[in-house]
Amino acid sequence: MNCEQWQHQLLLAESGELADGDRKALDAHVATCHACMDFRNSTRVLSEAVRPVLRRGTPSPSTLAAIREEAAARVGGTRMLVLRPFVLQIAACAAAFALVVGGWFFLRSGESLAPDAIHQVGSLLTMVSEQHADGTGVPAVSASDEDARIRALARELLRMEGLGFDEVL
Amino acid sequence: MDENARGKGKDMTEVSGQNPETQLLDKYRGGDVEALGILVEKYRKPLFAFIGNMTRSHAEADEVFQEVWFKAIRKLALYRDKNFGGWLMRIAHNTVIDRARKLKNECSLDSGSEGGNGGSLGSVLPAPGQDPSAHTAAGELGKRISAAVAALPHEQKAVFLMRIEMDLPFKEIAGIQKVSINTALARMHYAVGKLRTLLKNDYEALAAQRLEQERPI
Repeated sequence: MNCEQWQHQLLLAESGELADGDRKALDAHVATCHACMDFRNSTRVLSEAVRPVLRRGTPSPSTLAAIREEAAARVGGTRMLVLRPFVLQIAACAAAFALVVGGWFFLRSGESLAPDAIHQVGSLLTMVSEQHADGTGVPAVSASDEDARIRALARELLRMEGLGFDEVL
Repeated sequence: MDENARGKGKDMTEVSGQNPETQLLDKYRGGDVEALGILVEKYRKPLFAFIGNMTRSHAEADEVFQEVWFKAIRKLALYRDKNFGGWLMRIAHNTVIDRARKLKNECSLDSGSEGGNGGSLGSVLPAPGQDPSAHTAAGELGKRISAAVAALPHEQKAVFLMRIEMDLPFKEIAGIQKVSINTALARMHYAVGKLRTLLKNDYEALAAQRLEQERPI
């Protein structure tokens, strides 16, 4: 490490950003290096000499009054902005809750409908295959609502196949 | 007022063990305007010293100081840093840079209409001997110190001032200037070297004065 790098380490040590281990090595180098010792003294002497001189200026009373007025005018708005993340958190929680409940209902209704839907499609496929196998048409249907629904579906399928429901019968 | 601010901050630290600045900001958010006044007072001198030496006149420094606090007040809800002084300095640095760029553009437009080449950023930043501290510092030594600081290149001066006025760590200074920490260290290194050269006739006296102050009574 050259002296410029050691002096960078010195600056880091002055600002409290140097690890203890590195500081020990730095102290050992500075104790034997006149240039680095001089740089450390320069930094301290100049900082202490410059600070009080530069701090003699001050903002005008009217500027400070304007800042105070702005602070007073904005304090309400700032409070509203501070509340905003809290409101957003509440809204996010509500949305998540609605999603979970909605999903639960959806899955529950899916479970209850699924077996019935499978049964209906199975019946329909059996009926259609029987029609095509022997050409005698679908089995006699009952007047129940379920059978009526199956007949309607079968009619639609046969129409798509180019066959009329009545022709098959 | 400064002492008062420090006293209040100290008491709050002792009571709760939390950052007193955070507590003051919370109080301000809760409607206590005086709490922000304490922070304005606490940073009045170091912040104005930085701004005053980065602008060209006391009037401009006044304007920038007000602009910085207005921005800080408006953005306070977004403040999440641990170091309020560093956050404030970031706003001040960006405001000074934006202002210098704006002035540069205006200079370019003016000089363009006259057939010139336009001004550089350095031409709109304070020249040696033009900074407000040079006029207010008491004594010839104060004037020479002010002139030496004013003569530093803009980036070096900004690092030097952020370091000595706000005691900001180099990591934070590098973040504010959007450079690597090595660049920030190099700028400080050059600034110290240049000040030492510019104040070579006064340095021995300053070093002796410091030794005298350190000597136990």
